Order: sequence, then C-alpha cells, then structure tokens
Amino acid sequence: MWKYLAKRLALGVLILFGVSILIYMLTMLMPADYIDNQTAAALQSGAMTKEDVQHLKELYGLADKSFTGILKSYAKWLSNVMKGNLGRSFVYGRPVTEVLSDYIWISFLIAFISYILEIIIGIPMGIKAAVNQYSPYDYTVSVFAMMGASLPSFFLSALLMNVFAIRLGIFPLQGLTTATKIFGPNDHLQIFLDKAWHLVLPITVLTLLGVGGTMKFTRTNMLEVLNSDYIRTARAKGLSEKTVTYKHAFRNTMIPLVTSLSGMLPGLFGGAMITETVFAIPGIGYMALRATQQGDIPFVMGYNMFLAILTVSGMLISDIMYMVVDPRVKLS
Amino acid sequence: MSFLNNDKNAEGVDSSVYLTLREERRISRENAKIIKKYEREKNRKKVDEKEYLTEMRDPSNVVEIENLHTYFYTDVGVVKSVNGVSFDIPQGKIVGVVGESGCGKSVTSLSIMQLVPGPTGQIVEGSIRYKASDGKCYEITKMPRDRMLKIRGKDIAMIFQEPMTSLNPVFKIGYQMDEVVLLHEEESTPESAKKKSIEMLKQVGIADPEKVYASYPHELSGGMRQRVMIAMALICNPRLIIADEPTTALDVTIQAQILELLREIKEKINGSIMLITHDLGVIAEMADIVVVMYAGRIIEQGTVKEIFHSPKHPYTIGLMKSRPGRHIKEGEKLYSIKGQVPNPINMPDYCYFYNRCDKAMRVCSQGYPDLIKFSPTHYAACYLYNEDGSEKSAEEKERR
Amino acid sequence: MAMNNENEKKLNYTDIDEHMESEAEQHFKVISPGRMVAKRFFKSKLSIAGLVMIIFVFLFSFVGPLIVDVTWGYKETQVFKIERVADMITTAEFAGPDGKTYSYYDKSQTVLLFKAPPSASHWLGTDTSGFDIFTRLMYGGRISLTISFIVIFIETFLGIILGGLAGYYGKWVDQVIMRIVDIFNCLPGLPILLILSATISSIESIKAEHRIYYLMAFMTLMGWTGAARIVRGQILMLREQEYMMAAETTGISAFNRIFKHLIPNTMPQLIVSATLGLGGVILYESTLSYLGLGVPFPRAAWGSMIALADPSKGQEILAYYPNMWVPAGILIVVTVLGFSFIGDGLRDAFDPRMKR
Repeated sequence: MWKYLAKRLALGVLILFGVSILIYMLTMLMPADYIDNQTAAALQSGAMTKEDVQHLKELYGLADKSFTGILKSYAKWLSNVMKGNLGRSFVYGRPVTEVLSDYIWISFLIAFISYILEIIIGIPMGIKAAVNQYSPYDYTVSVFAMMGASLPSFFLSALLMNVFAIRLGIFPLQGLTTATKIFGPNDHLQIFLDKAWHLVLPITVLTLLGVGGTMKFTRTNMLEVLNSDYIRTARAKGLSEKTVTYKHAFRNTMIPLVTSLSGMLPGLFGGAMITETVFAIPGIGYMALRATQQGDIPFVMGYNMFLAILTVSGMLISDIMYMVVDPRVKLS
Repeated sequence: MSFLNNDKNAEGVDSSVYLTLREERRISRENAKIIKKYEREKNRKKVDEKEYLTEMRDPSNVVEIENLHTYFYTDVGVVKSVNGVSFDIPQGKIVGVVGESGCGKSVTSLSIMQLVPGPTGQIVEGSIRYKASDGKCYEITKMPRDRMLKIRGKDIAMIFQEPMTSLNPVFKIGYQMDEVVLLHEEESTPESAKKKSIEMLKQVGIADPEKVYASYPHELSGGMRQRVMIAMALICNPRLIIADEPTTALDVTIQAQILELLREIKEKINGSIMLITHDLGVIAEMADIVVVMYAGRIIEQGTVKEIFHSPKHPYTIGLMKSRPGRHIKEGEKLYSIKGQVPNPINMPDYCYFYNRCDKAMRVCSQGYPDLIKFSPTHYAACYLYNEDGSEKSAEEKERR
Repeated sequence: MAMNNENEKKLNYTDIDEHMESEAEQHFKVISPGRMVAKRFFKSKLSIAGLVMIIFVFLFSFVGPLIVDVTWGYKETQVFKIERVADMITTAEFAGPDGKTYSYYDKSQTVLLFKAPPSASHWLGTDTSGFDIFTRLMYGGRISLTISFIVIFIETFLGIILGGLAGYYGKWVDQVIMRIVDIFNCLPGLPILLILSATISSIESIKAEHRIYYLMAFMTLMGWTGAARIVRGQILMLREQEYMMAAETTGISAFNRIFKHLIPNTMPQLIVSATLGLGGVILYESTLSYLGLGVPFPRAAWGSMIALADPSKGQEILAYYPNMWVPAGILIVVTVLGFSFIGDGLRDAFDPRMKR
C-alpha cells in the first residue's frame, strides 16, 4: 500500500513540475517592456528601485531571453516557490502569499457551505431518482441537473439579483457588508448576521450550479449498484427495500462518491472567480480575477500554482480515501 | 426440410421482431398501464391474512405450482418467460429442473420467492402454494410484499449461480450472516447470531469458521463463497432451498463437494431442494424428481428413473443423447439438437419444439399438444403418443 | 428406417450451420447498426427536444441574420437612434437648518437616443450603444456556434492523434503522452484561459479581430485530453482482440492500422464526448465575452450582452432593462442544454446497457 501511495506522490510532484513549466511559459507571452509598464508608477513614487525592477525582470525571464537565461530564471522562480515565496503582487503591493491568506477564508466559507448543501440535497435526490428509474421524478430531476450545468454563473447571478435583490428587496445586491451601516465594537452578532445576509445569494448560485452534478453522479452509481448480484442476494434474504437501498446499496455507492469529493478541493479553496466578482465578495477568486485583468504576473502565477497544488493534493486524497472506504483495495 | 412459420409476411421476414417506432411507443404505453396495476396490488399494506391463506392439494407437498404465468413487459413486446408451468415440490425431496438457457427455470424459482425483477416482470396468472411449518398454507401470488419478506430467507431460501458477485463486498461475511438471523429470529442478539453463524459455517465444511466470519468476501475463493452462500441460506432452517445452478461457476472438483454438502444438509434438516441446472449429470446424481422445461413450459416430468430410462419427449431424448460423457462408438458424430429456441416474444400456438424435432408430424404444427400421462408421476406433452400412453403406430405418424 | 436416419443425420450434420443461419436470417430482418442507433435515439423525448432546440438555435443564428438583413436591412453593429422622451426623477432626503428631515423631489425630462424599449420595428429594443438587440442575438449565436464547432473539431482531431499514438506504440510514448495529459488536466481551466485572454488583450500588436483565433487555440489546448483518453483507452482494449492479428498477417502498415481499423470503433464515444463538449466551449466563450476578454466590441456575443447588466456598472440595466440581457442568457441555456440532451441521447442510443 505504501508503495502505491509513494508512486502516486511521485507522480503528483512530477505533474506539479510540468504545470509549473507551463505556467512559467505564460510569461513568455509578455511583451518586452511589460514589467517596465507595470512598475513605472512604483518606480516613480520611489517604492521600487531600478535594481528591484531588474531583479523582477530576471525572475520572470524577461531580462535574458536566451534559452539558458530562461532556464536560470525558471530555476530561481521555482526555488522561490518552494521556499514559500510567491513574489510580490504588482496590483496589491504585498506579498502574494499574504494576499492569498487574507482573502481565502471568505471563499472557503462560501464554497464549503454550498458543498454541504449540494451533498444534503443532491445525494438523496440521486438515490430517489435511481430507485424510481424512469419515473416522472427521475426525468424532472435529471433535466434539472442538466439545467444546472447549462447556466452560466453570471447569468444565474444576474437573474437572482434582479428578482431577490432588486424587485423583492430581500437580499442585498453586492458586497460583503452593508457600507452604510455602522456597527459598534461589540456588535459581533450583528456583523455576523449582516455578512451572512450578504452571502445568501452567492451561496445559492454556487449550490444551484453544483447540485445537479452531485445528483447525477449519485444516480448513475446507485443504478449500477442496484443492478448487481449482491443486491439480489440481499433481497432474497428477506430484507426490506428500504434496508436494501440505504444500507447495502448506498454503502457501495459511497465509494465513488467519497473519492469524487476530493476533486472538489480546488473549488473549495480556490474561490469562484466569476460569482465572487459579480457579487463583489472580497474573496480569493475576486482578487485573482482583478489581478489577472491587470496583468499582475506574480499574483497570477502564484495563484495558479496554488490551484495546481490543490488539484494534485485532491488527487492524492482521493487515492487515500479510496483505500479507506473500499475494503477490496486495502491489501493490494 | 422446410421450417414453417406462420409469422412470415410476403418477404419472408418475421415482422414480429422488427418493430416500427410507433409500435414500440404503443407497446410502452400498454406496458405502463399493466405494470402500474400489478405494482399497486403488491404494495398494499396491512392486508388481511384471509386473503392469501389457502389449502394444499396434497398435504405432503411443500410447494405446489399450478399454471404459473410470469411475463416480462419489455419495450419490444411481452416475453412469456413462464407460460403455464405446474409441478409440485414434495416434502423432503429434491426436484431437479433442467432445460436450456432462457427456458424459464430461473424465472420460475424467482416467482416462488416473489423476486421477479420488476416492474417489467410480473406474475400474471396461476397459483403458488406454500405450506409453512405451522401448517398454514399461503398463496404466494396473492401475498403483499411486506408479508413475503418474512418468508424470504427464513422459510424459503435461495442460492445463486455466481458466488463471486453474490456477496456484498463492503461488509464482512459475519455481518452479512448475522443480518439474516437478527432479521428473522425474534429473540436473537448479536452474540447469539454470531454463535449461530459460526456454527453454520462449520456445518458447511469451512475449516476455520472464525477466520472466515471476520473476512471480507474478496478474501475467499469461489468455492468458499458458495459455501458461505449455502450457510446463509440454511441459517434459519428453511423448508425449501432453491439452488439456481449452484455449481456451474465452480471447478468440477468443488462441484462434487458442494453437491454432496447440499444433500447432507437436506437430510439433516429434512427440507426440500429445488435444484436448477442444465447439467444432466447433476440431475442424475441428486434429483428424485425431474422437471424438463422448454421455452417457458414443462414438456416432460417424472421420477429420475423414468426420465433417464424411458424419456418420452423428443427434446428429453435429444438432451440425453447430447451428453458428452455418454459412451459413443468411435467415429460416431456428436449429437446436438439442431435449430434454436423460438423467439420468446411471439411464441407460436403450436408445439414449441416443432421446428427442431426430428420426429415432427403435421399435427404438431396445428396446436399445442396435451399432457400425456405415462404413470402417476410421468407426464410429457407430445403428439407422438396416444392418450393412454402408448406410442402411435407408424401409419398414424404421418411424416412431413 | 435406418437408411433414412443415416441420410437425415448426414443432412443435419453438413447443413446444420446453414440451416441455423438461414433460419436466423428468416426470423430477423437485418437492420444496419446506423438505423438501430437512430431508432433508439428518437425513442427518447429528451433527445428529440434537444435536437429541436439545436436546430432552432442554428436557424436563428445562421439564417436569421440573412432574413433580418433582407427584410429590415439591420446589421450587427448598426446604430439606431430612436428618440424618446423619458422622465428623470431625483429624490433625496436631507436635514434642514432647523434639524428636521426634508425630502427633495425633482422631475425633469430628457431626450434619450439609446436603450429604446421593445417595439414593432425592434422586437427587443436597442441597447446602450443603439444596436438592435434581436439582431445581435443572432450574430452572437453565429459566433458562439462557429467557435464551439471549430474548437471541438480541432480538439477531437488532436486528441485522436495523440491518443492514437499513445495507445498504439505504448511503452514510453504512452507514458510521456499520458503524463502530459495528466499535467493538462491539473491546469485550472478558467484561470488559465483568463490569463491567456487577458495577456492577449493587453498586447497591442494583436488586433482585436484576431484575438478570437488565439482564444480558440487556447480553448483547444485545454480540452484535447478528453478525446485522447477515450481513443487511447479504446485502442488498448482493441489491441488485444483478434482482428488486429489478422490485419498484421495481411501486412497493412502500422499507420493504416491505427487510423483505419481502430478509429471507426471509437467513433461512438468520441461523438458523445464531442457533443457534450460543445456546451462546455460555449460556456467558456460566453464567460470570456462577459469579462470583455472574448469576442471584442462592437461585435455581438451573448456573454457581452449579459455583461451590460453588470451590477458594478450600475443597477439600471440589471433592474429595468431585462430585454437587453435575459434573452441572451436564455439562448445560452437553450443551446448548452440542447447539446446535453443530444449527447445523452446519443450515449444511450449507442449503448443501451442501462435499459431494462
């Protein structure tokens, strides 16, 4: 077992190397004077010196465009990354890691809550659809799932905003807090409620978009399990349909479900770029989008490496979860 | 030899198989209506016992099947898997049901357990009477689902063909066995169930029952798993064990052991076994009574001696001749019954074996033959014989 | 009697296969696999619905502009100045010098040229720049569909080649290509696309018109791994089968073997995957257009039409002019959903395993 995990870990590291190379190659697309343009203001105000600018150029491979030059800069950048130094953001003027850690928690909160909701709603619906295959319930739920995957997030957000924020006025339109309200130093509960109020619509959007996928996945796996021999044996033993479905069948469906949940890791910590921007929630996705649009190389590269690390970690966690949940895998 | 078939149209095509889209839609709609009716019947709760209590025709039988019809309402038509099957399973005997794949033997057994895969599969007509140990006699076709659950696994148990996939891979063996005990026995506790399970594992010949009790299914071999399945079936002392091709997926050496085990168990608990197989050798070894099925009907039944020594129906005779282990003279060709089983969706209304039979006569294509009685236990459905059981004379048999 | 039996037996033995086959043929009309698939496809109402939806969107996007041009002479970026008089109302509350709250109400009129409401000559009205919205919906559809088909086509082609090479040659070629597949799979899709588009937009030397081609290339790069996996998987499966050995003995070259024998067998899965992928590309493209990084202004795109309703730019359009952005969103959903229905229907039609 350990050998298998070690192999997967090595594969993960290899993949991360590859991803880092690809991401680094993005900087190749930058025109020669790109960094000059970006740092002009900082240079003038004295926040950066000429050496700093040259240092940056070297770091991002824009100083020496020969092959060895690029190789050297890549090595430098990579060694920085491994030390935990993701560079200094142009747009935010702070170390990238600092920006990430500041804004990641809101994104995590939104994503986490919507995942929980997706699971609570999607899994039971998927089970019921599988047990009643071809019934009207099954069709409705399947169509609903596909609609969820067909809606662009910004469109759904705009629709919900129009109906609930503007017309019905129940929820606030944008932002995390109500700017016009002033809270005293001890109004923790009120601050919390105010923030929660602002988060209802974004969480709703994320949940609606994702619940269809969970439901469809559950349904497909349940159907496969329900057609297997051991379910027939369970029925022959005299167990009620309910026991057969929820104890025997579900336990087997859990296996692929649990392993797929780890694939949600990048979404959990990576933020939802579009939805956060539309609702002006100051999360990591929002910050990353702004940085991307304004050409903030350090931030963008740092953020993408971060996402890649999350994805690979998710892969590894999936493998481990598989071993935990499926008794057949333990000994191999 | 020509092969007559009434369903051909001018092009010589059996239009009963190829359906247009409109026909398929119509079939789906009709099926939906019929299925809904049956499912509603089965799902009734709190049905009064009087509705499904009945009397056995012969009190020495455990199960009596009479004119059973089990159909599957599929998208391409109605598949009549069991099309008028009647036989008895007497107390303490082994009834062997033999026939080709698709002849309906498995579906018959599933019908007894009310396990026909729904909602397309339904018991449409007929009666299955079961006599319980307390003397009460139940009409299984009328029993609602929740009542049937009490009988399944406890009074009537089933062993399936594929031991490799018949056990739930995520639960330990012990857990799956205890489940049966805890479900059906009122005063059982986890400890008493465990004791019983281990005892049962020992009885089926497993050398280290505690270890197997704590194992997962994938840790055991096929033969071991089948023994576990048998143990699980026997654990509540059932009156009837239905074994659906229990040894087909196993090695020949294990086969013998398992069969021997089944026979021992039967003696011990004085139960009955319904043994389904396509292997005549197994039938010869194990069965007391033999039922030969073809295309959803019984074409011959009798004691094992009668069937093996004097088979009457050409199909039975063909089966006997096709056994590879039979002593053949050198140079003799291996015998096989020519042709194929007819299309299960549109069965003809004459003898199903007509176009494969080497003794077929004109009368065979004009209606389904009646059952001819050769002895109180031996029946066959064939036009070759007169009503009193004697064979028709050469002149009476007009060759095609 | 004995003689008869001998002859009969001989007849049975030699003719047995012929008899069985001819009997089978007599009982079962031979239907080509293509027709069977089509029949199964049309059995499902969802598949038919999807087909109708897509046909509608296609006609709307490709035939529509021609009709509109001929009938009204409207073009994609034609500005319509429609004068209308609109009220401008301002209200405010303030505290007067005496400390009491007063409210202020002012109503004046202004002449607006753009953002005209729906009318008989402009079915969905005009937008903030005076363009006819209905016409732009059509042009937007045209570009979305064109982009998605081109991207999917190239993606699949690329995937077939790489997957084919990996599957056929195996060993180190396979390992290398599969690692590349893994790497590309770990790339976060949307962020990378955004970086690439943002970078492209900021490079002045690339004209706005040519941006689209770069974007299509990028989207292709993100999506080829699916097709490659399918092809490679199928090849690995088929390699074991006998007819490959047969091909070997007849001396067909390796190149031919891959592309002639194995490709037709992977077609079903590829078609399903491609159909479902079309929806994905449309969503990506509309997201990029929404952010202003996709189809450049003043060209029409569904995403950029929805961007007019961006609340950060003011609530006016979001709240009071749904005619400008809601139809575009609906069209996106209809198109992606239509492709999903068709893709699912095709999948069930090719392989009806799950049916009862």
